[in-house]
Amino acid sequence: MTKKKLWMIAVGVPLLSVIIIYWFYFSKPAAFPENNQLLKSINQMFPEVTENVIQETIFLDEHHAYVPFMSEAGNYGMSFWVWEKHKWNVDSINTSGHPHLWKIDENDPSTYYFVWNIRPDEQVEYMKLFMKKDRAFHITDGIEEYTTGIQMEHKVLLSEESYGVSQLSKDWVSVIDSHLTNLKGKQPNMFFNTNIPEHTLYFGWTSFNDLDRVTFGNSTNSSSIFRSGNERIEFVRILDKLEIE
Amino acid sequence: MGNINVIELIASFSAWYLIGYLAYLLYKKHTARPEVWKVLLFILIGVFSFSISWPMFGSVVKLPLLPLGVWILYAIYRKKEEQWQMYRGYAWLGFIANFIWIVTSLIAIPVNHLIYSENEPESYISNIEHASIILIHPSGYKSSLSKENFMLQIDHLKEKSVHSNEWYNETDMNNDDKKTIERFPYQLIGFTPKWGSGLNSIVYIEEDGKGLLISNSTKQLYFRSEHSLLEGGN
Repeated sequence: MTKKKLWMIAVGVPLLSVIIIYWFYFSKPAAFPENNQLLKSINQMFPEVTENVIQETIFLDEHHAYVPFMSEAGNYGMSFWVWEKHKWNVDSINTSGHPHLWKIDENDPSTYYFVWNIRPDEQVEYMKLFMKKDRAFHITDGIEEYTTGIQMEHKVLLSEESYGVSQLSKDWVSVIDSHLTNLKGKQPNMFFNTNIPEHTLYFGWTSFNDLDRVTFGNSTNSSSIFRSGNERIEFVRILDKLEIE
Repeated sequence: MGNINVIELIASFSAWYLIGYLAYLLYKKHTARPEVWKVLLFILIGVFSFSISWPMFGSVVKLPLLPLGVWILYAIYRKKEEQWQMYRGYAWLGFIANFIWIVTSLIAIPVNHLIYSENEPESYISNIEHASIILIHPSGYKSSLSKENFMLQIDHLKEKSVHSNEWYNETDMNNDDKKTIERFPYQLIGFTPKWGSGLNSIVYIEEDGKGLLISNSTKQLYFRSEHSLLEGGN
């Protein structure tokens, strides 16, 4: 091999790999796929629901999009799209539109979004989203610990659209942040352990009709979920009246 | 810098420095020059050990017992007598490094206690310039922090014991007629702990504005003040 060739390899190969890695992982997202493209992907996962209509594409940030859809049969679903490895991929599809919490970056609660797409025939006028921590007490060897009960709520009116997105308020973000930092201190390091049980924050929701009565989702409304990615999209559980303080 | 424990940082830096220095001493002793990458590899694998957990000074210390890493390396290198002679010191150094980390951490604990008193609210809440309160339970009222009162009283808070069982029971949960009342419906946010203490905590404020519940990853402290720390309280 000549010196020139060696040089070309020594410079060319690393340069090329940097370019490829950049293109693959860091390049700006391309234009979002057209609606019929999106439908194709959705229908591939759920061939049984064919006549779907995309309702809207809502970008949560440059790399994450929430796409609610409906079928002519009156089903309302949600799809979650992520720009990853130089492609817009569908991370998951849910044929039920009950609220979910998308944690785009789990360590940064300001990137948490509630998303929903609720069937109009459930007659939900508004809903309340909750963040809760269960009150508890804990005594070991005479050392007492009291876990403060937390309940914060956020009311969302369901206007003309069946779907929507809600980012967490500043207060919610502060509360979660403080819990995340405290949790870090609890992680056992290599040589020392502490044993204090952790009580965590969780999310819930309740829906109301125009008479301020709690509505219960249509139980015949079966839902199926398809997941291919590894995004943190958590089901938000329905809170019972007794659970709300 | 309030979030980082400076003493622990110094301790772990010293530990690494000591390990590096011991490796350097070993390295200088040889007549033939060992290969650096192999030295590092032997130290790294040497760290691997079987350890038992041992309660000590209020926390659990993992004491290394069996030098698994050293054994593994011996199993691989016992046929290569010369190499094993040259490098085994580094494998043992890796195992000893476990003890160096433990000792430096154990020294750091009392030094930490000395500099940052864990029983004083000032260690946890040192700067409240950007602090405010959040209502975290519907039983509380919209209110705001009185920084002036807070500054005046932080030095005069009295520590009281946590009555977790009592507080839990007095909330009247599962009772439909009465509204559940949370004893600590406010959370203090935006404050910083003493510089370099790493004493991150969640601070709750009692409904009358006169109590502070400081929840840390390892303990909980409760303080009462004479006057309300909130605006408009007494």
